[in-house]
This record gives sequence, structure tokens and C-alpha cells, in this order.
Amino acid sequence: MKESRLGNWLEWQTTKTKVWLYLLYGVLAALAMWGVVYENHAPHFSIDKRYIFWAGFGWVCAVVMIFVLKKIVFPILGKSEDFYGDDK
Amino acid sequence: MAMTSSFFHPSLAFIAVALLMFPMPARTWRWLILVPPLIAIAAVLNMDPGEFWHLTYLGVDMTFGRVDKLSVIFAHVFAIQSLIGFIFALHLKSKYQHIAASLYIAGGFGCVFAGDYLTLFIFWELMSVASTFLVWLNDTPSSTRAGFRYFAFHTLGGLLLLAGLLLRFGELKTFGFTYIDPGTANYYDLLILAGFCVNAAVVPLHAWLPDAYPEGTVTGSVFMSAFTTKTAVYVLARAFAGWEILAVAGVCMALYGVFYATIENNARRILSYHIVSQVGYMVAGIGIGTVMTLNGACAHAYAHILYKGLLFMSVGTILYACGTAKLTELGGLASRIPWVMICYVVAGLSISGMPLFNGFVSKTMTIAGAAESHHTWLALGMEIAAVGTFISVGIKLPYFAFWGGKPVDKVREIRPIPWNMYLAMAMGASLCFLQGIQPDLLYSLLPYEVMGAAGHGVAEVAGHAVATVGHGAASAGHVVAEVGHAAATGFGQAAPLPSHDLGGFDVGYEAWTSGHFLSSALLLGFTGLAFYHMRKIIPPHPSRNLDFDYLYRLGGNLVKWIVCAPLAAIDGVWTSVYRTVGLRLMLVVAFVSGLFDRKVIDGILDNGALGVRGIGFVTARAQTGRLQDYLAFAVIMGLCIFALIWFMA
Repeated sequence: MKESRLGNWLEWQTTKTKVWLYLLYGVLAALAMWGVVYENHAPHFSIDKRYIFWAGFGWVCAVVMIFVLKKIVFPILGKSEDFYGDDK
Repeated sequence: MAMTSSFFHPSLAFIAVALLMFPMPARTWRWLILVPPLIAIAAVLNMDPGEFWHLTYLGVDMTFGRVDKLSVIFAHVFAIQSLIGFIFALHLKSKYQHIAASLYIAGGFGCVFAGDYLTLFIFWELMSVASTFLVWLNDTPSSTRAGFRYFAFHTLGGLLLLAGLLLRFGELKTFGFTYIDPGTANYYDLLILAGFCVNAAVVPLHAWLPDAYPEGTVTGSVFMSAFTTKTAVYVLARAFAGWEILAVAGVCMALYGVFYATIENNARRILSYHIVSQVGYMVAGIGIGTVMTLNGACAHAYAHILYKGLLFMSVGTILYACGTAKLTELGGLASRIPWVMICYVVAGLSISGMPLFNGFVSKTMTIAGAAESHHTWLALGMEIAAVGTFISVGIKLPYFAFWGGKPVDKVREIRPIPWNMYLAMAMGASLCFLQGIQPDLLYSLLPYEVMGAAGHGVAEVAGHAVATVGHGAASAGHVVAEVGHAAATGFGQAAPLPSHDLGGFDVGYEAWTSGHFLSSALLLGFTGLAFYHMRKIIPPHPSRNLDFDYLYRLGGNLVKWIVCAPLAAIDGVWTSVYRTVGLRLMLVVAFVSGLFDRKVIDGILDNGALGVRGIGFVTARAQTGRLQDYLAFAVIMGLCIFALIWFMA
């Protein structure tokens, strides 16, 4: 059955996380190099003349967002699952 | 009611099948539910522009079929998603879910083709009631309560709309559902806008959505994710394009939704918050009101219906198969349900705007439109929301649902997934991919035509053009429509009007450029890297996050208290009065009754018995058997009668 064959392949890949990680690094490095050399001729903001700006923007926004939301906002807003007494 | 051959209202098919299903046996209605979506697809593909199906009711002219390119693009995706949704729900044994879904979809089509506010309101309320049943039919205590809250909130929204349209009618003597200029808007227009904003889940009127959608049935939430908010997007585009407040509100929605989704644990609630977020892009596009942002909003609505339906189908399948949608209770499932995982990933990449998928061709259009019309901060806000979208629904949800750093879950019992669910997901995933690699499939449906040489959504003033449209309407003569293309450079100017020509045209935007590809790939790629770096911080926790629904629950409890407190006080006073006066009065009454019973009733009964006994005794004694005694008795009786007559005379 196709599904179990695909499932087995996916299960096998869980033993190769390093390979996938290096692959991700490789792709990101290639994109970053392209982003450094390729010029944006119609930038919307003054600092996005090189496309590499979007790599930094994405990384910084994601790190700040995760940290602020999980470490500051969540402890304030997070309540127990039965906080309302009727929703599980 | 006037009917022409060029228009058939899709709602009619859905309503007819909903009514037919009541008496039908299971084997028949199971396949019947696929008929209305097929009719709807055929009807939408064969429509001509114009106005059809007029009805005069109680002196009011109602139009059930206004067809232009704006209504057609929404009807187009509604028809396709209704087919996918009903295929996904084909295994259901409960016909009532299909009936509710059919009526709900009928409401959606009715709103999209409504030419006046009264018709719109009728179908608006049909959607509200039918969708409430899609929550209730989940048949759990929490879904019952959520359904009541959902219905109460939508009733409030409906009342705002009703008040607005009636007050507007009182002032303008028309129910015409047309564009409202923000410069000349009145208080009743604001009421209508508020009613629309409830259904569009504009923050802070949004809390009904993440409250109710996770409680809906597995199949019902797929329908709900497509119709309610997108119908609201349609009506906002129709009447409120270029309203600055919507531009700001839309970006707030886009950010608010992803913030909550990032800290949420329930997968269906994460998706619900992402509806708020993604509808935010559309509302922002409508609010900015240029040709490009309006087209971007419509394109995003179309793409969103497809990928959000696929997201709800994938997560619904997890819930169906595993019995839970909480990320903390999932993980290690990728190799157990791999095709569900693949369908989810397609949807997750689509919503994130990853190149190759349809979110890329629609989301970038709205953001580019905002930036090019110099709404830099709004564009930046939407970019931040794109980052949050990829974190929460593009990576976090699938990672913790299918992997989560856990070994393969070989212990969990997984319920067999019906073939129809796989088929529906495959259809949704294929369309997301096809539109991603072939954007013209989507762009050819977009309703706002770029006029002048400016391109990129910043149209030059073209004044008003009178165009002859209506191909295929030759027998009825040409439909002459005013295709107004006013200037569209942002706030303070008239918004562009949708095209009456249903054919495709150049929308002035190219998605597949090196720049768009590179910026999207870098943004999302490095967001993914950040997720990897923050993987120790982001794991979900079993929790319920406070949102505005806390306030309306509080409000509900306050109303309950306002109603109950005076009644409780009156009840307390009454109890005291009863105890001091009523109780004693009752004791007196009881005493008198007892006395009456003993002395009167008992006396009568006792004495009656004694009398009977005495009479019997006397009668028995009188029966001596001696003739003289009887004679004496007769004489005495005769004397008595004589004395009585003498006395009476």
C-alpha cells in the first residue's frame, strides 16, 4: 500500500535529521547569496535595496515574536483549559 | 419574478435539496448532496452580467441576481468549495448536517448576488441560523454553549445591519446595496458597517470565531471557514472600499490573529485565529482601496477559501482519526497518516505565501499594492503578519501535530479515514498548487480593471466610461452598464468599481518575478531558521488564552445578573412576607378549616349517622306488630297534620 510505503520512508527520514538540517542551511545560504548580489530596483523602504534585507527581517521578527509572545504575553493570557468551566 | 435563461440562482438548488432531504431515505440523499454544487458551478460559469430575478414584496423592489465580476469571483470559489466540502462530508450518516450546510451555502450565494439590502439581510440571517446548527450538531455540551454564544453575537450583528438598512431606507427611500462614499457617510452607514464587521471578525468583534469554529462538527467547520467571513469581505468590497478605518483595522486583524495563533494549543483554534489574520489582509486591501489592493483582497479571498478549507479538512481529519486536535496530545503521526500530513503541508505553505502555492500569488499582491500606494507601515505590518503566519500555522502546527520531537506513535489507535475525505483534500491541495504555478487561473477572475498607463494598481483618472457588455445576452439586447473607473490612489478618492465584463483582463501585477520570489523565499526561509533556533521556547502548553470572548462572557453574566438580581430581591421579600403574614394566615385558615371540619362537617356526618341509627332504632321499636299501636300512631299523625294545617291556616 502506497500510504504505508510513504509512511515507512518518512519514518526512515527521522533518523536523518542532520542531513535535512544541512540541506536547509545549504538552501538558505544559496538564497542569502542571491539576496546579497541581486538588487531591488524599486525598494518600498529605504533599507530593502538588497533582497537580503528580507532574510534579516524574517529572522528578527520571528525571534522577537516568539520570545515576547511565549515569555511575556502567554503567562498573562494563558489560563487553564477549563477556565470557563465549560470548554474542554 | 422575472427569469431569464442567462441566470440561475445557485441558492435555489441548495435550498431545494435541503428541503428534499428531510423525507428521503439515506441511500438517496447521500449522493444528492453533490448535485447543488455541480449546478452552482455550471450556473456560475454560464452567467451573464446584469440584474436578474426582481421581485416586488410589500412594495419593496428586491433583486436576487446582481451579476458583475465582483459577485462572480466570490460565487465561483463558493461553488468549488461547496463541492469539495460536500465530498469531504460524503461519509456522514446524519442528514441534518447536510441540510444545515446546504442552507448555509444558499445563504452565502444569496448574499453575493443580492442587489439590495433587504435581500442581503434575508440571506445574511439564513447563514447565521444555519451555521449555528453546524456548531450545535457537534452535539457536545461545549458546542451547545458555544453555539448559543455564536448565535447571540451574530444576532447582534444582524440587528446592527437591520437598524442601519432601515434607518437608511427612512432617510434615502432606497434599499439599494451600492458603494458608500466615506466622505458623505451617515450614522446608518456606520451601523451597516458595524454589522458587516461582526461577520468579518474585525477585532474586537472577532471573538465569536475562535470561540465557535473549534466547536463545530469536523465537516461543518470546513464550510464555516469558507463562507461567513468571505461573504463579509464581499459586502465590504461592494460598499466600503477605500474606507481608511478598514485599512488600519485589517492590519490589526492580521497581526492580532497570528499573535494568538502562536500561543494557542488547539489546532482548530489556531486555524480560527488565522482566519481573523488572513481576513485582515483582505479588509486592509479593501480599506486601502486601490485597484491593486482590491484585486489583491479578492484574489486572497479566493485563495484563502481553498487553503483554509484544506487546513480545516486536514486538521478535521486528525480530529476524526485521533480523537483530539490539541497539539500537546499529538505528535509522531507523520508516518501513520502521511497523506494527511502532505495535504496539510500544502495548505500550510499556501497560507504562508510560499512560492509555488496560491497564497504567494494573492498575498504578495495585497502587500505590494499597499506599498506601492505609499502605505508603508500597513505593508510592513502585513509582512510581520506573514512571518507570524509561517511560524504558527506553517511550521508550529504541523511540527507538533506530526513530529513534535516524539518517536513514531505506534500505540495510538487511528480510526480509518474514509476515501472521500482523502479525495476532497487532494482536490483542495491540487487547486492550491495549480493556482500557485499558474496565477492567471486566479487573476483572470479579478474584478477591478486597471485603467490608464500607471499600472500596478495606481490608476489614472479615467472618468466614467460607458461600455457595452453582456455577451450572450443578444436576445435581450445589449446590457449597457456604467463601468466607472475613477481614480484609485488611496484614501480620499472614489474607489474603483468592479467590471461588468466577465472576461479576463490584465490586472497589472506579475507574481512570478525574481524579486517577489526571492523576497518571499528569504522572508519565510529565515523565519523557519528562527523557529529552529527558538524550538525550546515555542512548544505548546495545554491552556485557554484570554481573548475578547472573556469580556462578552462577562457581559453576558452581567446581563444575567441584571435580570436575576431584582427577581432574587423580589423573591426574598416575598418569602419574608409569606413567612410572616402568609404562613400565619394559612395557619389561621387551617385552624378554622380544621374546626369547621371537626365541628360542622364531622358534626353533620356524625349526627347524621347517629340520626340514621336513632331512626332505625325508633322505627324498629315502632314495628311492634300490634294493631292498636299502629292505630294510635295513625291518630297521632293525623292530629299532628290537623294541628299543622290549622296552625298554617
